[in-house]
Amino acid sequence: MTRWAAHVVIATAVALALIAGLASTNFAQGRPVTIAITGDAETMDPMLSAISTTFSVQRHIMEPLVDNDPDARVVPVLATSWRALDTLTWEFKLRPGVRFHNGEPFNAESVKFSIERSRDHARSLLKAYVSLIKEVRIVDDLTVRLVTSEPSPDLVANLANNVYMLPPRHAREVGDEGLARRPVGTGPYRFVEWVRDDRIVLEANPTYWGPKPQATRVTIKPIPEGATRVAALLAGEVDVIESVPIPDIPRVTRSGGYRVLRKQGPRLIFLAMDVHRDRGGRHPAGSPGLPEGAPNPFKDVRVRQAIYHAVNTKEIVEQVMGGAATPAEQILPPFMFGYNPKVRRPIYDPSRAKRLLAEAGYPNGFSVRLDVTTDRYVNDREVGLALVGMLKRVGIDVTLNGMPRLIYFPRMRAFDTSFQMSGWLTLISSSNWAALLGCVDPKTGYGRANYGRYCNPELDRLIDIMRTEMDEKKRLEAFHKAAELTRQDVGKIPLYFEELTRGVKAGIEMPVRVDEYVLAADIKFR
Amino acid sequence: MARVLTRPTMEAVAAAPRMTRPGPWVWRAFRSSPTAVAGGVLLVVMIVLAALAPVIAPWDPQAQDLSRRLAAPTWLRGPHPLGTDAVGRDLLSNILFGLRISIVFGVLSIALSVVLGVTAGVTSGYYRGRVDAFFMRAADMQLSLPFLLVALAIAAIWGRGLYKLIIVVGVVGWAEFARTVRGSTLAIREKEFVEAARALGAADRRIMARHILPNVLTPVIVLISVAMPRVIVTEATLSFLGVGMPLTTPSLGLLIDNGYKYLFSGAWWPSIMPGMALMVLVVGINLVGDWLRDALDPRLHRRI
Amino acid sequence: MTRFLVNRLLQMVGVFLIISMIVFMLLVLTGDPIELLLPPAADINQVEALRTQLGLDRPWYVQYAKFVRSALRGDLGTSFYFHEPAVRLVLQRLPASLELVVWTMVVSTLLAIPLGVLAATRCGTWLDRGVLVGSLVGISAPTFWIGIVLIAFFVVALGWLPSSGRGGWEHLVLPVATLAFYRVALFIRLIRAGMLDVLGQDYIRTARAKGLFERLVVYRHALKNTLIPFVTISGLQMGGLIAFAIVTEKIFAWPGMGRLLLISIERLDYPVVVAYAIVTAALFVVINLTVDLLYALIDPRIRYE
Repeated sequence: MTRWAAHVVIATAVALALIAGLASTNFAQGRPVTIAITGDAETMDPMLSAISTTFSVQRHIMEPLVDNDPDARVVPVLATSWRALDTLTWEFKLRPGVRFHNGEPFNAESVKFSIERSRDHARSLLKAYVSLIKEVRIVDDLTVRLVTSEPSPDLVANLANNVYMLPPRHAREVGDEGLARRPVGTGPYRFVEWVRDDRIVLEANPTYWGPKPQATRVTIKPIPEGATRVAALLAGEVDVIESVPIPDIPRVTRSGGYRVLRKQGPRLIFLAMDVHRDRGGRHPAGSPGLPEGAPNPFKDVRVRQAIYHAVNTKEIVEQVMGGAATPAEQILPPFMFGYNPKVRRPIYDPSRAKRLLAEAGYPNGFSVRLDVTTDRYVNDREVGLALVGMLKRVGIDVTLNGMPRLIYFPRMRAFDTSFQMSGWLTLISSSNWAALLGCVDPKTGYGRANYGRYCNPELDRLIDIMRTEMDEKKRLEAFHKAAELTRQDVGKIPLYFEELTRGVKAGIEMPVRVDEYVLAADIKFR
Repeated sequence: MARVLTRPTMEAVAAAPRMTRPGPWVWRAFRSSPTAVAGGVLLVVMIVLAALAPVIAPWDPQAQDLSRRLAAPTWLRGPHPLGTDAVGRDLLSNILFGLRISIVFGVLSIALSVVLGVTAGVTSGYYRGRVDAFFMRAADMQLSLPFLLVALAIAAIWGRGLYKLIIVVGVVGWAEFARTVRGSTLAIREKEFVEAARALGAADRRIMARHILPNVLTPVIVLISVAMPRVIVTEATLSFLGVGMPLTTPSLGLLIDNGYKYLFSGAWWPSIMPGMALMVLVVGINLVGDWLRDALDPRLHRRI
Repeated sequence: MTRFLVNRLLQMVGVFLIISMIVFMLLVLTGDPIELLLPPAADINQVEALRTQLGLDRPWYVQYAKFVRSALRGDLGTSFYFHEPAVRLVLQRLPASLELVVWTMVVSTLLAIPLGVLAATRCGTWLDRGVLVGSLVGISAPTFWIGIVLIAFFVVALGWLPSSGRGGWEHLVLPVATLAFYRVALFIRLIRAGMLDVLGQDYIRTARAKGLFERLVVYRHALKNTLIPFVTISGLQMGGLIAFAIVTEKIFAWPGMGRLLLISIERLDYPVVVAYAIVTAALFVVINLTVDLLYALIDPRIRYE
């Protein structure tokens, strides 16, 4: 070999090494990131908790077959495709070459194990999502068929709700206790450490099947107090905070170097009225928020319409909610399946409200107690107070009864209310309809949040279609009809959708997700 | 040393049992103490303001005006001297009505705690043995019972309201007073003047009321003057949980808590203003309390 | 003495039985956690099924009897939410609470004794009044105010200290300060008042006039006179802070017992609240026993048989 040839080889090698070095510094933008969330996870076992902060933490480590993207569209994760073979059978193709953090391969067997565990584990809180799955059939290593006991068009949407895939061999070895403490999944992060109520530490999974996250080491800190979370962000201790209190939003954006990311969320706040009982009086025979023996005005649709007209949602949203909400046209938000773009909320018109009340036989209004929570929804107290003021203007004399949620919900479930304000949130459209407006009936299971016991057989028929019709077009039609029907008959009065907020350091880009999760894998550094 | 300290037995017998009745010297002591005068004036002003709330409040405390929400204080000019809250209610009017409720609440609930606690404390310290064990284990239980849970359960069963809350807070507070009084009683009952009284054939009740009670009051007064503001503030926490005063009944605690989240948004007044009112009230109570302690001291007043 | 201690231990068992019963009753009367436990997609049948499964559809005394039966086997229940033994959850957080409380008590006592003595010996002067009025801030400001203002100042504006969490000494400063405000004010008053009780007596005034040495002796004696109420109230404060420093622990995200209690009550986690009350009762029984033994040390005339 001549000397110059040697030189060329050496020079090329050096150049290649340099390029490689440059390339690696270019692409390894990895950085640690600290995220402050509102509460600690309860357990790392994905089937034993149903609280969104816990799911959010677990989602870093574990993955479902399908998931909601930041805008509630269903996207593939560990399943690459799926289709309905017939009305009762769904076939899922699984992502090849995926391994759990402990090296176990992800395959049809893990799907079977995980779905069956969600359905059959005595203390599983995810049963609602998988109860219709009769059988998980393994076709081959990367194909499974789910057989349902009745047609279930929402099956895929249900699986997108945190039915995470577990490694069966590992799960059997470590048992429930092990799963609860040292989670193993297929996700973009591996579990490192968890100090209860203080921090959860994760590191990027080097063998992750998908795009590598830019945030390489993640510390998640539960900070329950909103003002403290904001302080931690402004002091530079954390990079991302969940849920910025509304009054603090200007303070964060003003201080430069920080941004507040905002997005309309799916949580609906609504008013509901007792349309079941005929007269006021002692619960349960009488409607407890109305004067003893007085006829129940809410049975008259004109009274319900009057209240709809009397509530100035725009003012509530702009003033009381500080702009951090969107008026609701109907019970579903625009980004969810089944939203009817033709259905609008009635205009604010107190004089028409008075006219309607007079037509219904209440020219001087009536008295009623309004039950609200004081610790559940953003600014729930203030919104309650504002409603009292607005209804007073049309002659309805409202006594505000604020309760903490742990007293409130058992009361509502027992229908110990005449008039109430609550919120509701799922990302499954049909389940919202069934819970909020389906007749309360153990036969159908509907009416979980129908505390006013509104019941309309025609609407129940539409809800049945929503829940079982496999033909997408007919199904959508049922949703649209239901929205029109409810708008006329005023089964509930939708008020607004709460906004979701995140505070971030200026160099950080991340989507605000409608499922309320704060995921480090979403973070992009600028 | 103990010998020296217990020397003035006869003096003690003469002086200690006499629970000093306010006489002309009390008034003299009061006037000679500028802080006591200041405290008294503050307290009287606050009580008068509270009593006259319905007359002097410029607005109906519940009248809202969303378009004027979080309006800044206009002080002496303008419609809302101390500004408005998050739904546009006048703060001054709410504070005046809030004072009423908080004063009634603080005084009555503490009074209840003191009566229950001092009775139990003196009794168990004096009789000791089983009586003591009974009351003190009850106190241990009371102290370890989460107050939050009690308040929630009562709200869930009985609903809410000022007097229910007074009973809850008043009853829960007995244990602290009982333990404090009982500790001091244990020491006092061994003193010579108590033995002397017993030797003279005095009944137990008389010994407890005339000889022991006056001598254990010092820590009680201290506790009262610090517990009163704490109880008023506790009501804020309860309001926050929705088991305090009803949302449309303003108390200082509820007002402070309602305004709290706006503290750093630029609108500081909905929380600071009622907080200031509370602070003035507390300063008044404490200055008078400090003086009262000195005035009730059977020995000290001779020096003033 | 042994009999006294054995007696106390027997009483403690009774305390456990009664307190757990009261807590059970209060919890069941307040409500049940099903609505908070289940995801919204669950239907009304699943709600009922879970209620039955957890035994929440039974009257409180039935639930209590079941609790006592398994408690006798050493099982105090498993959290509805954490799915871990309730006692373990409570004890896990004890060290963090103790750390906070020990420092709070040390700081408050070290500040309060000199200030209280100073105020008592300079009784009626402007110094005395200054100390008393100055310490009022700690009494009249709500804890959440103090905490959040300290954070705004030392964390956001100055950047000297971390906002929250547990770690080195710098994490302790703000929560300890927040808790100490009230205790300093309380202790100063107790010490001052107790000393004045003694200092006002004639023979003491004579001793004071005599000279420096006598004066020191007198102050020592006067301070000793404050000890009984001081020790009692310190004990109560200590127990209260370990178990119920709810607001401070929430604001500073301190991983202690108070935060567990708050979340467990807010979500009606029956087993945790019951276990919590039992642990707290044990704590108070032990603290109050210590206090009672200290009485005998402070004043030898107090004896227990």
